[in-house]
Amino acid sequence: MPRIGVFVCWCGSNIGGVLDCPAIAQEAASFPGVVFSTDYKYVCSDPGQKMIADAVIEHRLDRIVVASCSPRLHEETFRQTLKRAGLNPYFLEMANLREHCSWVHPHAQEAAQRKAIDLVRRAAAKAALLEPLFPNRIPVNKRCLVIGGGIAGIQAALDVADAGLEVVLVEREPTIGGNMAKLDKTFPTLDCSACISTPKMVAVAKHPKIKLYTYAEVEEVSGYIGNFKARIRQKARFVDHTKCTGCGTCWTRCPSSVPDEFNEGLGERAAIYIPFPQAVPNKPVIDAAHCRQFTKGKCGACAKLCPVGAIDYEQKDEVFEIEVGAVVVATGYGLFPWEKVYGEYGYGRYPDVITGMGFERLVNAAGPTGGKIQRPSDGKEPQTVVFIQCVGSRDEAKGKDYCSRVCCMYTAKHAHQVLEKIPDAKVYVFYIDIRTFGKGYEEFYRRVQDEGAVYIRGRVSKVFQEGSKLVVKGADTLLGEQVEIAADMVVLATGVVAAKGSHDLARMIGIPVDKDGFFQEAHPKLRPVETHTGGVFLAGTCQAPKDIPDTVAQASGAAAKVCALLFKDDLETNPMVSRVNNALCAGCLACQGVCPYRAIQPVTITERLPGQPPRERVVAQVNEGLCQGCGACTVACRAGAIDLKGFTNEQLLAEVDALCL
Amino acid sequence: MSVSKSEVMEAKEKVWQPKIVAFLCNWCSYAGADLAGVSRLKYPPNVRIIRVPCSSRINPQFILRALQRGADGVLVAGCHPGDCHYVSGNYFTRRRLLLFKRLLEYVGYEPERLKVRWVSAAEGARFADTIKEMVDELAYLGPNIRMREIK
Amino acid sequence: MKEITEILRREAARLLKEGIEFFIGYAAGSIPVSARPFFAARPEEVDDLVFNTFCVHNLVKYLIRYPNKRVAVVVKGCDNGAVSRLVQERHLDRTKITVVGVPCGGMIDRNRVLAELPPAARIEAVEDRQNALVIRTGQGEHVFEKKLYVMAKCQVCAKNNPASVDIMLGKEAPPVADPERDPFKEVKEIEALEAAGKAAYWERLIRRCLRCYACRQVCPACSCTECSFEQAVPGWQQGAMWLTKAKTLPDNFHYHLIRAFHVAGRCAGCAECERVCPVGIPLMLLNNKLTKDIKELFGEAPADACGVLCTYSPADPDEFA
Repeated sequence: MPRIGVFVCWCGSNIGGVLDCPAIAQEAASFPGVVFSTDYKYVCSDPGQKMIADAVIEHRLDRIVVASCSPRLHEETFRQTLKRAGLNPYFLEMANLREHCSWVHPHAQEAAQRKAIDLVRRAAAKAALLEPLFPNRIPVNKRCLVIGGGIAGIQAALDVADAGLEVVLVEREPTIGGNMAKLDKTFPTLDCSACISTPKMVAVAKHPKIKLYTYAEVEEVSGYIGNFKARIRQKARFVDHTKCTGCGTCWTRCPSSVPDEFNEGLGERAAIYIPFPQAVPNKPVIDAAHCRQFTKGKCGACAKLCPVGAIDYEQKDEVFEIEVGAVVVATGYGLFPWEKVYGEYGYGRYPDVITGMGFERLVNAAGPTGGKIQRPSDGKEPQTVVFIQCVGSRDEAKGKDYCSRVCCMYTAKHAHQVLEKIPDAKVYVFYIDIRTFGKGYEEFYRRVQDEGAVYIRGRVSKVFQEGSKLVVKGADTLLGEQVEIAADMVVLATGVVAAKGSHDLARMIGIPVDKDGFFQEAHPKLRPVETHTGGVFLAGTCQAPKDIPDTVAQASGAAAKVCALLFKDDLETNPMVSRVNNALCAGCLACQGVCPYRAIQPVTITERLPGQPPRERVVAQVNEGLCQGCGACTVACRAGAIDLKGFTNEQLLAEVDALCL
Repeated sequence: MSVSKSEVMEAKEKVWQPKIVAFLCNWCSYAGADLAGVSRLKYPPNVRIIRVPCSSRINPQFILRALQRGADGVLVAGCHPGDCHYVSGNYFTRRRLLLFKRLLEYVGYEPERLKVRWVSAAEGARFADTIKEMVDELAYLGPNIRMREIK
Repeated sequence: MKEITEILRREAARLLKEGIEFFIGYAAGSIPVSARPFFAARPEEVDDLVFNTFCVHNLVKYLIRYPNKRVAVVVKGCDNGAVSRLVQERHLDRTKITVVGVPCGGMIDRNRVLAELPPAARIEAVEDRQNALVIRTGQGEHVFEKKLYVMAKCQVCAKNNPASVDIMLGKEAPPVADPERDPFKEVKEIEALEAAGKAAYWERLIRRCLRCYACRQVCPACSCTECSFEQAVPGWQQGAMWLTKAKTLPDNFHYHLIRAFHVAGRCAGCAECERVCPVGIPLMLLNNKLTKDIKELFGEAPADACGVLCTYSPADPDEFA
């Protein structure tokens, strides 16, 4: 019979405010196998952990139950405590009294108390049956895959590479740089976005430890922490980049013109193009969907012009596999598709209603107007500009519930830029609340107001065209008045949403997404750059909307996590894997059929039974390096010959029984 | 005659309350239940959770055992199809439990006794709602007495 | 029937001379209106072999006792599925066994015939006349129209001539199934009951179970090295692992539901479980329920050798969303 110790945590008032922890500990003393039980304010604290270690010695405990928060938070903490106390770390079972009891049942204290006792009884019943488990060691591949070449991916790749590790950076667009490369200036310092991002782009391209694949996509990620395999598709560029010098002759004679995505459709580009002059790599690709050579079957203008013969219309996609030990996902964001839902702003019918990102291109010296603010409809300089905030953000009815975090500040920046570039211009900003939480942000907002931007608290109910003007009707809720403004241009602060295809990517890698499609971090506070899939980390806006400083900070955080992982020579494996009882296994291999990791293989054993000649027969064998411990096989096995360590049939049945008393 | 608060509570407690045993996969549904906690969503305290790595670890015998030994209802929750942490586990769960649920109903269990729901790590509210829904349904049905020896 | 018996004896003798270690077939039963399994080990023993309308047993499961011997076995159409099941699950080496197929015109449900004879009537002779079975007792001749007295599984049998056997004896038999009869008629009747009605129906039956495990022993799909229901917990904790051996209502239910679930998608419909049950529990109603649901939910042919539960389709119906 094991000797179980039960430690009930108050978690300050989080548990102790709802549940009577001393009473739970007292009750627990009567459970089978429990020889010691106590309660403490914070079991996870240093004195709390020491208390466990001391009790192990004093009461000769060999199984520990900690009744506190979710095991998803502190299981690893307490396993280390057990290890330090000289016990096998897997002699731990936790009862989740916080997330599953005190936090959700403050309205029913009596019933919650009984539930808490049941939960501890369950944990003690399982603890009594715990077995010592011993991890194996697996080697770590010291290479890192970064998916996405925006500022987050660039920063993560540079940090990891600077630490001396190899990095593979994959970007689906023809250039790295992401959304930041499109921006004109950055708030609140107004330093030029290109001036701070393009040197980093170049650093990536030049870094000896970084292998850059642009115009490429990750198609499959398999494997596990330390040993991932990724399949990458290099899309055909139809330009041989080993020959191309990037001279730029080719696109001068291209007969096609296509709305320019990089300029948010406000300009045009050729079918053979580089997205912008500072693109990395600074070599063109052919957009086959719009190239006459592909659509009409004849043209070849660029091929004739190219002085080095780099144009290759026959080029095919290339697919190859790489092995990496860690993955950083930095796939960035998209913008809320306002044209689909916001009828009051004209569903995108009015050319002079543009998005904030469109404004960035208009005001950018490298943009379609050379930095002059001009109306898309007639090219005139607008005198009155209306900004509408929270388009798609904080709108439960039509958009997303959340705040996109950057719109208040970029709108303030835009207002400043209008006032700076157009003398005597009038600027109005419709807002719900102004959120300026960052360093220097509130000061910047005040400065823009002082410069003359008029902030109106209220929603816009309608925008419509009247002659060459856009009439903006809205409410000023502070004054309680209706407002009508005849504007020359309207700029919508469209919210930040999950990037296109992010859900597919999440499925492919095996990481969860939250309700809005952003990737879910392992813990909102304590593990913000990790995912629940070991070895996969998050950087930037793919996790949630954030501004550039936060993105860069998170990217460096992810890089630090990657380094901490890849600097190890080998890793401990999860010992909670399947095992086969050969005596029970009849070799039907139903388990093999359900295993997603191909971890089960038939093996021939020689069975020696008393009174019978030795007999060769086939049984299932689990490869512990491949098994991830899902347990699907245990249910497929009718004989119960295959069981999952740490979640055995016996343990789970004991848990059921303990709860059904 | 005055009645103390604890006596009222005691009288209330004696009223039968449904007991639910829930099997939750570690990566989605257990995390979803954690999120319900973190978000302080209130739901009835009738559920007792057992953590399993994946919904495919849940042997139908666990469900039957719970129903026979004292549970009035059993909840099985896992990742949404296609989102399984272990690639395909919940597809097997779906097949197994589609069949097993029908078998239970065939021998006389009411359909409400076994509920299977996909609850992602982001769906704390869905978890809380599922429990509320189950408690309502089971309270209406009354105690589960099928296939038990009535003492 | 005489004719097929003669062919059977001839083939058995030949196989035994050619080195088969024994030939498993049927002999006349020790009581009237019955047959019994018979193992012929020498050519001179083949004269005891018969094949008639009472050869109800599925003989295939005997084979797993002799994994290393060369054995021949007689199979009817309904027994044939057991061969492929046991081969797929590595209980049998197909190269060591010789499967001898017999055409089957349906097997008589012995209990129903006996029930219609006058009480305490002594059977003097039994005669098989093509479509009728004639039983002479002290009280006269009783004629049973075979079609009406075949076993329930025969009434819906679609494979009375076994396919892909090593040796097929005699001429192909005409179909025995009654095309009018819905194989899931009884299942549907139970499904139509209210929950309480279903529970009452099953409780009455399941309460009877003696837990003799005959249904499991005879089932070709139940061939685990050690049945999970007989495993004990090792170590300091005493008792059974999955369920106790006590004959209680909950444990009986547990046994029957899980037995049926374990053979789901693997049951070949030989109905031996039901035939051997000493207390008459209609086990095929559980097996057929699962067969019916599998058909409705996942379609006809299981794509996987180990059954529908070892595979999946992302397009499976989703009631749990």
